[in-house]
Amino acid sequence: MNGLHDLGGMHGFGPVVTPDGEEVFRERWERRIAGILNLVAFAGVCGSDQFRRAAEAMTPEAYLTTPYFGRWLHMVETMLMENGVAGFEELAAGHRSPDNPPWDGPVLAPAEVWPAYRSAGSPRRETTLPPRFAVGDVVLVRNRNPQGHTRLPRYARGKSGVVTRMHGCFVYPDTNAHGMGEQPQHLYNVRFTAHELWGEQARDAVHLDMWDSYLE
Amino acid sequence: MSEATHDHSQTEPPSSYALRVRAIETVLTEKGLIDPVSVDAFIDVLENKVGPRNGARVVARAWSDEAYKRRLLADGTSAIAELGFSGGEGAEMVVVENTPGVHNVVVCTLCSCYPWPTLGLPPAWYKSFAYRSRVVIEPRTVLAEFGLRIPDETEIRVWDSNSEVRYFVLPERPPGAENRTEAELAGLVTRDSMIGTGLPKVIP
Repeated sequence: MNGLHDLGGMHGFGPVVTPDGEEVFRERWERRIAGILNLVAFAGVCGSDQFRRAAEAMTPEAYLTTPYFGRWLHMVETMLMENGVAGFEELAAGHRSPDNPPWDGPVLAPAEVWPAYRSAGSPRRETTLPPRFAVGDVVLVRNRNPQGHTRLPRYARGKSGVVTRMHGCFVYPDTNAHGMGEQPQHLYNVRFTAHELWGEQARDAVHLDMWDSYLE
Repeated sequence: MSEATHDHSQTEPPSSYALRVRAIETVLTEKGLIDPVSVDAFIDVLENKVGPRNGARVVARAWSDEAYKRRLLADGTSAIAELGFSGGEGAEMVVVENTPGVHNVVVCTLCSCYPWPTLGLPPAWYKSFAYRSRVVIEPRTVLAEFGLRIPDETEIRVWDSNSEVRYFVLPERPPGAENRTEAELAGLVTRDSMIGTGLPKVIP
């Protein structure tokens, strides 16, 4: 969707502020939600594509004013409710309702956390589909504006680039985020010149990954 | 605790974020979906087991072992796993090399994708709207704000991490690094040099 999350190329956010000695977390609740989100994913409630869709569905005002880990909190709440794991009343009350059944899926024991993290799988999938493009091919990105989740930034739509790398076949986020299946397809790294994207004469370039369906 | 015995020295009320997170943790614990000790274990992974120290070891190995560097650039995931680094947000790694003519920099304009096994969780600036919006359209200006001035004749390649592939910059080895041990070399590698917003430390 054409949401506020799709920030590439926007103006007006000011300089990048880079404090020294930055810690990963500032507050306790940030630590807790980071651990919880990962455990919810490892339990199989949902994956990254669904979490990202939940963040993108925030109103633009909420997206702008909610801190980073606050967006993670929103993602977890949304996915727990959407997948029927926890109801609004339970999250509001802060306790499990006796009407709602206990979790019967996988649970990570403390000693399993590090091994599970280290062996986390990739969304790479086997395929017999031949790739449509090869390294060096000039490709044109489709101009599409889906209401749903996509990983195709607005700034690359309708633009032309050159395939620089074949990644293999990967789960397609645009369907997977909506529970419409993994529908894996080839993923290419495509180089866009700054001139093509922004009209600039600089020799610079932006590289983006493109699923087959993103290309004409 | 009754109102009379409530300890008013703790005057800061918990934020609504803290209350909502506590509610989730309690509900999921009562359901048996999470074990709070497993939450602690995952926080330990994110705070202590992953982080830029891991990435620095990858860079130092590449600087001191030409065959390793070739493997790293050809198949980043496998070469990084040789050093024991793998896992969530790093299951598909591509390493891009800085050279005298090319400077690479990594961003995720759509969220904040970042290679956790080698760099840990991203710093706040990497997640900021300013960095995400601007580095693709005006990389030279943004890098200058980091104190990094890239010569006009050097091409800047911005890698926008919009898939599950995670990009990692192999910075140029600083001059005078020959005859240094891998541990010494790793000490020169800064986090920002592996994102592309900084350079390795200069050898004194």
